[in-house]
Formats: sequence, structure tokens, C-alpha cells
Amino acid sequence: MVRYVAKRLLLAGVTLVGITIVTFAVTRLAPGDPALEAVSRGGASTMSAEAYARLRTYYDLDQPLSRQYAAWLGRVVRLDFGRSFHDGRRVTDKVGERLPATLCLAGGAVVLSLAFAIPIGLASARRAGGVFDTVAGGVLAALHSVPRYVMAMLLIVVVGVHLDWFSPYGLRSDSFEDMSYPGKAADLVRHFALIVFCFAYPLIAYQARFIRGNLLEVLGQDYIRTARAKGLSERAVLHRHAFRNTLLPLITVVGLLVPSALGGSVILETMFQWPGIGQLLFQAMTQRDYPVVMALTVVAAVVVLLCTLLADLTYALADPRVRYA
Amino acid sequence: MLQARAPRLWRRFRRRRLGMLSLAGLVLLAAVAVLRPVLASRLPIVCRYEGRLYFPGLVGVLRSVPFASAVVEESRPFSLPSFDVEKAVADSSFAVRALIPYDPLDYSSEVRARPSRQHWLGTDDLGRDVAARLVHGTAVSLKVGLGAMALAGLVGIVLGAWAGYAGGIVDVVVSRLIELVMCFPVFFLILAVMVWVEEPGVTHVVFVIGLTAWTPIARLMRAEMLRLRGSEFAVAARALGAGPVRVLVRHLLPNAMAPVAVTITFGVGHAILIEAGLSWLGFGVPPPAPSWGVMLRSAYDQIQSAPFLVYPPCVAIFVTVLMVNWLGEAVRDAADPRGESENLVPG
Repeated sequence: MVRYVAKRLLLAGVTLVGITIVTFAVTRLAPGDPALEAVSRGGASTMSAEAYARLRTYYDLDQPLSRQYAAWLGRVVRLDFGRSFHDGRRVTDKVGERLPATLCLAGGAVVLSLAFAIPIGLASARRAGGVFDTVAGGVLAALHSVPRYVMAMLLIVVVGVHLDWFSPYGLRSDSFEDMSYPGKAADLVRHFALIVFCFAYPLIAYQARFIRGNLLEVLGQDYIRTARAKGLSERAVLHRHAFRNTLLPLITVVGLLVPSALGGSVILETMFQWPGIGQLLFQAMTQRDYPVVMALTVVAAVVVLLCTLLADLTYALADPRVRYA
Repeated sequence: MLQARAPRLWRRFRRRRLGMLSLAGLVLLAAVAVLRPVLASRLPIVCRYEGRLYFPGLVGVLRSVPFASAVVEESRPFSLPSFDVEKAVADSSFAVRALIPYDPLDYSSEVRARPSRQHWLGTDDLGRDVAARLVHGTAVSLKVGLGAMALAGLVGIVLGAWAGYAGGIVDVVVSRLIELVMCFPVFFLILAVMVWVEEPGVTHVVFVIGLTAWTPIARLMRAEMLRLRGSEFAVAARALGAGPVRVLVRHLLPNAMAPVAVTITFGVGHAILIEAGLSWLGFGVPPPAPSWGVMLRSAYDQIQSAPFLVYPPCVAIFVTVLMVNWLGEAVRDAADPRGESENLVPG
């Protein structure tokens, strides 16, 4: 196990270095001169050569690429991503204030999807091929095929225009301050509910099918027959013996869903004007705000790397065959 | 081996009703994309004008074939910008108009018109006919979906097969590369690259999607090669004196193609979704072009004043992706009949 962990960590280290190189290359080689853009944003159409040179030095743009990379990496390791080209604020602050909104979304989506997927998966596996299994499977498969942003657009039209129930954008309504406390709570919940649902519904389908498949596999094994033979109720067999064995792979699958959730957050958060990481990336992109883009891309890739690593290690812990493969 | 494999796959595939249905649907969609100059254009298909017969629509179809625009001449005077097509059609003794007699880029004063007899799906904020844009958007989506996955398939198959078959240092490098690319959330990577591009077009989108979508294909191909490399038929071929390239191309690749084809099929759906998403964000096909993502964006921007604009692109994206997914599932079931019981739950 120690050898496997060491090997896996070493490989992850190599990938980590690759991630920083790719991110740096992609963002720094892009066209456009951030120093020039910083000036034009200030409203000045012309500037002295001296001021321009000072700006270029400030952004490290006068150094060779390798030097720029080394300097950037040194700061990144200390979680210092510099200042935004757009408004001069620290990138760490900008990302930090957006993080809670996205984490709420990801956490909410995982909790919501598991809350639906586990009961559905259990019920489907109990009578595989039965009426519930067929209907739930069909409905979930249909839902799974609806792209997230298509669902989001339809929800916005129905809730925001046709029903005219509330304006589905942002964290809360404009009239939030005038609401009573229960009203405020309801307002937050309904804004949150729309976007979380858009994140969660494909996960429900995926996880429910995963749980069902794993349960069916486990249910054919000897120890299940033993459990049944000693007179345990079908419920106890299913929940306590079979389902426990599918928990670990389920955790890994949920962990591996993080990348898709992050990637999908760009469009969904922009659509719902949700002040999270995805919307920040979109805004930074349109403003050519390299430090923010670099920070977000590196952080996202590292999060994905950690999730994969964690999933691999848990799997190896549970299944010795993986370690020697 | 390839010759014996394809008919068997087709025989098994033909029995899957949903698969055949979606294949038919996708062929229809491709026909719409190819025939778009006859389906949605202000130019008539056939027209007798001032005593001469003209075929502006048919010429348009021919000219949309790659490289044909050099050989087939534009249908003058109909193609001239200053030419009044409406008047010419009214004057002519005989004319067959396109099904939707509007160009996808033609503005009109009828802004945000609700669906009617004239404009089947209404008009957008610039008075452009939504149905015409939808028809022309089909071509963009299919081009991106098929083009990107052709590229991704090529890169993925070559790299994956090479890594799996050669092993050693090649395998280590390619595996690291796969893991590296997979670490980036797709949208983050694509967006980061798309800011490079000063004036994005369909070709850029194809390349960017293709060069990020090859990893699952390469990984699968590598695993298949590792599995097949030591198999008896490979050893037999080698014993008969076949060189490594021959063993790889003639014996191993055909046996690994079926699962890879499944992954590529699903990938087409993904690529179409990514293109629409990118265009919605403004980093894909640029706005006047009739892409479904661009249409979705303009619907989003005026959702209060013209909510009916939301539905056409939504339905088009959903139906296309659904058919691609169904096709992928049918191909998967046909390629691996052992997995049949597992597929009681569709999706």
C-alpha cells in the first residue's frame, strides 16, 4: 500500500507541474497587452513611454517567459496570485468572496441528488425490472438527456416570465430588504432551489443507476444468500448488507463528478447571475484579466487532481487488487 | 477482419428500434443541413425570369459542397446584393420558392413577431426569421459535432494505440498527458484557449473542442491495446511474420474499434453541447452566424419581451443530443451483446 501511495503521489506531482505550465502558457501567450489595456481602462488614450515601461515592469511583462513562469510559480505556491488587471484588487480576495456561492451550489447539488438517488436506487434494485424500476429508469434517462443550460433556460422562462413568480436571477430579489424574515428565507430558498436543481438533476439519474447496478451485482453474492438464509428481513439485507458495500464506490463516483460540476458552473452561474467561481471566470475572460483566469484555472485543475487522487486511493484501500495492477 | 465485423455489427444494430429511429432522425438532420439553401433562403429554387430559367437555390446547394465554390458559379443576377429578389419572383412567370423564403441573416422591420403563417417560429430582435436561422444552425452544429470528434478520434486513436502497443516511455508520457488534460474542467480549458483567438469561427471551435475531447478515446484505446496485445491472434499474426505496424493496424485496431466508436458517438453529442454553450457565452461562433447557441443567447437577452424565442433552439439542441445519445447506446449494445441485461435501464 505504501508503495502504491508513493507512486500515485509522485505521478500526481508530475501532473501538478504540468498543470501549472499549461495554465501559464495558455494565459500568458494569449494576444493583447495587459499593460496597454490597463492604461486604456484608466481613460488615457496616450501615455508616456516611461509610464508604459513602468506598467510592464509592474506586471513582469519585460522579463523572459521562463523568468515570468518561475516568478509566478513562486507566488502561486504561497497562494499569492497577484492583483487583478481589471480593478487592481487581490486575486485571492476576488476568488475567496466568490467561493462560498459555488461551494453552496456544489454541496447543495450533491446532497439533493443523493437524497433522491439513494432511495430510488434501492427501490429499483429491490424489484429490478418491475414497474417502479422501469418507470423511474425511463423518467431519469429522459431527464438525464436534457442539457443543463437548456433546462435552465426553460426554468427561467417558465418561472420568470410565464408564471411571473419571481425574477430568477442572482442570490435574492431586489426587494429583499423590505421582506419579513420568513419572506427573506423563502426568497433565498427559491433562488437557490432553481440553480441547485439544474446542477442536481443529471446527477440524480447517474447516481441512481450507479447504485442500482452495484446493488444488483452485490445481491448475487454468497454473503447475501447467507444473510437471507439466517432469516434477516429483506430490508435489513438490502440496507445493512448490500447497500453498505456500494457506499465506497458511490463516494468515489461523487468525487469524480466535481470536474463536470465545475465546468458546468460557467454557463449556469452566468445564466442565473449567480456570484460564484464560474461567473467570475466568465467575467475575467471577457476582461482579459489574466491573473484571475490563471488563478481559477490552476485552482480548478488542482481540485480535480486532488479529487481523482483521493478517489484512486480510497479505491486502493478498499480493493487490494488495484494496488498490484 | 474489418470486413467481417461491420456487417455483423450492422445486423445487431438494425434490431434496436430506438437506435434505428435516431439514426433516421440524424440522417434527416444532415439532409436539412446539406439542403439548407433550398429549405431556407430568399432565393427561389427554380425561377423563370425574363424568359430564362434560373436555379439559384440548387446552385446554392452545390456551392456549399467543400471546394465546389471554385467550380460552380454563383447564380447571377440573383446572387447580387442589389438585386431585388422579391420583385423578380413577382415578375417571373414561374417560380418555386424555398420552404422558408428568408435568409438567416436578413434583417426586417418585423421585430420580435410571434409565430405566424409567414414566420413559422417568429422573428428575433433584428427581424430575422427564426425558422431560417434554426435550419442554418443545424449545419453549424453538425459541422462542429462531426468535425471535432473526427479530430478527437484521430488524435485519441493514434496516441492511445501507440501508448498501449509500444508501452515503455511512450506509454508513460502519453498517460501523463491524458491525465494532465483531463484535470482541467473542459470549459475552463476551452475558454482559456478561445481568448487567444481574435476572431473565432466554426473552424476554431472545431479545433479547440477536438483537441480537448480526445482523452477518453485515447484512454479507452490504450486499455484495449493492453488487453489485445498479448492475445493469441496477435501472437499468431506475429508468428506468421507480420511486422508491428501490420499487427497493430490489421489485427489489433479492428478489434478495438467498436468500443471506441461508441465513445466517439457520445462525443458528437458533447461537442454539439459545448459549441452551443460556448456560443452562448460569446466565445464560440460569433453572433450574426445562425448557431443554436447564438440564438439561445439572443433569446436569453430578451426573455421578457419575446419568451417564444427560447423554445426553438432549446428543442433543437435537446432533440439532436437525445438522438445522438440513443444512437450511441444502440451501437454500444450492438457491439457488446453481453452487456444487454445491464441496459434494462436506458440512459
